[in-house]
Amino acid sequence: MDEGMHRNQKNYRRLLDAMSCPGRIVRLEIPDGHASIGAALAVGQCLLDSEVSVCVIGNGDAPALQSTLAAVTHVRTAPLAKADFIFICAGQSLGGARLAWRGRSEAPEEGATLVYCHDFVRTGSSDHLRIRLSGPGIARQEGIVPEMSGIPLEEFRELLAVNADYPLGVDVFFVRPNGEVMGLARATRIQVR
Amino acid sequence: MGYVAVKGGAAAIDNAAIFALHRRAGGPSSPLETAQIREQLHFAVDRVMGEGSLYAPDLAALAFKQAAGDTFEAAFILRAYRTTLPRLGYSQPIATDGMRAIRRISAAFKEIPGGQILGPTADYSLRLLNFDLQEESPERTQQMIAQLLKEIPHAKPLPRRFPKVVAMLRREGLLIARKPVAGNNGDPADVTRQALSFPAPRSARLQTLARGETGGLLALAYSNMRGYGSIHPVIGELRVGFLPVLFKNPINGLLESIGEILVTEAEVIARIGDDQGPAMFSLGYGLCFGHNETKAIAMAVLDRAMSGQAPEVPSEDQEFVLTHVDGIESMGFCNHYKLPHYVTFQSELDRLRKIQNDPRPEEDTCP
Amino acid sequence: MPLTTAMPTQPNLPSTHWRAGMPSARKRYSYAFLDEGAKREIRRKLLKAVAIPGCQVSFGSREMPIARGWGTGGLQLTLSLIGPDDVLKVIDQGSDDSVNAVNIKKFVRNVTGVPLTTDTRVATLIQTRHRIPEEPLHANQLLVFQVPIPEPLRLVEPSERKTRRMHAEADYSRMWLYLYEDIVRFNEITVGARYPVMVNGRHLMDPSPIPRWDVARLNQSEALLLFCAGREKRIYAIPAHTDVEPLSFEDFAFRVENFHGHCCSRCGCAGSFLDEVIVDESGRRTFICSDTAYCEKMRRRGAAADAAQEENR
Repeated sequence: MDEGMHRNQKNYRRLLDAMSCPGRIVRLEIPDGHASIGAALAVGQCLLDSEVSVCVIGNGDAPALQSTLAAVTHVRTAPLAKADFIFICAGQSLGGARLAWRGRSEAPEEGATLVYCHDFVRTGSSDHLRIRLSGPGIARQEGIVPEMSGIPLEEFRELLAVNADYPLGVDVFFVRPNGEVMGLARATRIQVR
Repeated sequence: MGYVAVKGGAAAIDNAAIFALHRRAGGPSSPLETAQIREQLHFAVDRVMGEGSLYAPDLAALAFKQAAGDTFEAAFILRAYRTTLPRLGYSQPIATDGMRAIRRISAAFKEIPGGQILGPTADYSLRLLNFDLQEESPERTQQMIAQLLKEIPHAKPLPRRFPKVVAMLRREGLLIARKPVAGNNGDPADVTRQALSFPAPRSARLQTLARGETGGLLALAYSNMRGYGSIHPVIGELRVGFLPVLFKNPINGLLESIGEILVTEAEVIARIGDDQGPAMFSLGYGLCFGHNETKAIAMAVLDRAMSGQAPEVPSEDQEFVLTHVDGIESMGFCNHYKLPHYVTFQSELDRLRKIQNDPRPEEDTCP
Repeated sequence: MPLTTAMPTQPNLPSTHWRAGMPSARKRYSYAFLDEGAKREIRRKLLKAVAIPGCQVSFGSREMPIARGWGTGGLQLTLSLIGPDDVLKVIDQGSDDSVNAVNIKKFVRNVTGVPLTTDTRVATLIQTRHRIPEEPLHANQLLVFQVPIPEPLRLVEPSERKTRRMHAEADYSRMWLYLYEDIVRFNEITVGARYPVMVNGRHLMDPSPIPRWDVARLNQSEALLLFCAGREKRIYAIPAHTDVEPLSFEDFAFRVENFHGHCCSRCGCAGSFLDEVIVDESGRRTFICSDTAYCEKMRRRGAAADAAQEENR
């Protein structure tokens, strides 16, 4: 029990790093024996329990991830538009992000957290060079290029639209199966060139 | 240089704790047993459980002993302990008409079905110091109890359940219809998990009041009864008794009673209202752990007071009431002013001197 | 669900275990005191607070074994964040040795076994009441502020319902008006500590009762700054490299405390926030650094320099 507890603590600190320094990659410790969904599960173990709800969408791994999250964390399931957490087993949400709950003007923090669980390819695409991230947590005024490559440009455009009504919006983690995580806060300014 | 920095804080804290122990237990009398507190100071124990928000008579007695009789402090110790306990599940709602009552009265009607049951109360005894208690004789106490029990068999046994007085009024259409107490999603709110937001659902209001400090509730309710408000309550029914705690067995899904809790319940009937439709009585509800009639009645009055649309006096303003009745919070904040504030004060001094055109303090030059 | 039990699962714990060395009664409590469910809730809320800099996020504040108003908010954050790799520093009014700081430190060490330090540079996690350490913080440090009153608008509006609305609409006109009226009346802004700041150009925030000296240092900080009010049940945060501006007018600029050229009578340093100390009944004053660890460091540095000079002579 102590081992899982300490792993969750360590992983949480990395998720906190990721959310407070958007665009930077951190690396999670992955629990053994869960194949390709291990990294997503590590995020789930850190943040989910019966007090919150999740919706898992996407391809291949989605059913397995949904049942494992429910079994391990006792998280409730909810429809996309009401879920506190949305796990997306794909590189793109295909419109899913637009349906996510963005909070109320008196409680913007209710907005959902999106967790993309996908093997965003490291090379091949140079699309990420066209992205500039700036704002809180980012030192350079002129902005930085996201450290994680392989996230489709359309998805950045999608998130830009979803978070246009700041402080309403959603916050995002991109999770690779190897445990690499990059965060995007809703306060992060995204420019697509 | 007459100044020595505050060092050695750790030793001072340790010593202060031992001084406090000395103050509580350093005298010649024999140490209090928690069983004595639980049995003989039961009102204190009940109050600590209610304000500490944890039904645990033995632990409440221990907290009361540790706090040397300070109910604020004892409730605080119990709540801090509560923080460390995992939540294993949720008990089922209980209908209070099935309460195993030890006391049940109504001020609204002379006779009520099931009868007025006085039970244990000091309401009608003269508040004269009983000097016999200085040399309490267990034999004499036993004798009096034996005498009482000898006479009791001639009385009828209590019914298993008492009908609710307010239910009868409700059937006659004299009471405003009950409103659901739940929050937006249909479940009762949980003020220990979700900070209050306003307007608060009634379930959150009732929970906050049930955990509230007896004196705080009383002061606010009294302000309303006395004149800063318009609730002139009639006690429809006041009950003290035991309720079963029902829990769904996770294996076979059956409801099981896992124990009993002693509670006090008050239903007050308040002035005629015609806010929504025809004129009717309205109801205020109070329920708290243990035997604490003052708290239950004050809670019921405040529940009713806060149910109006536009608050006109402090006790009708739910934000005002709910954010100020918690004893652990108010006591903590009041006492935090004992902590050093010299940085803050320095900052204020700087402002004041600036406004008064810089009369500088007498100086001690730089080394 | 992995439930924490009130009793230890192993009767004989190895001595390297975090529980080792605690008085027996303390063994009844789990690592970092809070149960895992409480930590998870605070962790979730803190991520949201970081994502919306300066926005107050409400949470189900737990009762702690120290009183409400004595740092229960900061303590809950510290306990939700802390792990075996951390080194903890706790200060109160700048001092590592004040009774409340000592009390909190002792408690956290007892329930976690983490090492303690007074050295700002060595600490990974710093809990503070009313000060920011003088030495510059770095990117791998977390600074946790204890907050008594998280709502900057409380000064002008007692109702939570109304202040929520004002934040939702970014309507801070009443705060501006308050400062303006202050100037009309006193020819000066009279707000001492707890000076309201605008975070990321959107949320008005209470920086906790730090002096204005420290308010200026919130802007574009290197470290992540976390704030928690236990009694009022609010968490908020300022990520590193975030714009934080104290409210001010063009002709009435925000100014930090002026020490009129005084310097610390212990270490001789002239660039730190000073405590004014009354030396005797005649009211004679002296000044010393409010940050005691920094003062000690400067004093040792000064002594070493003197010694070196002596040797060279």
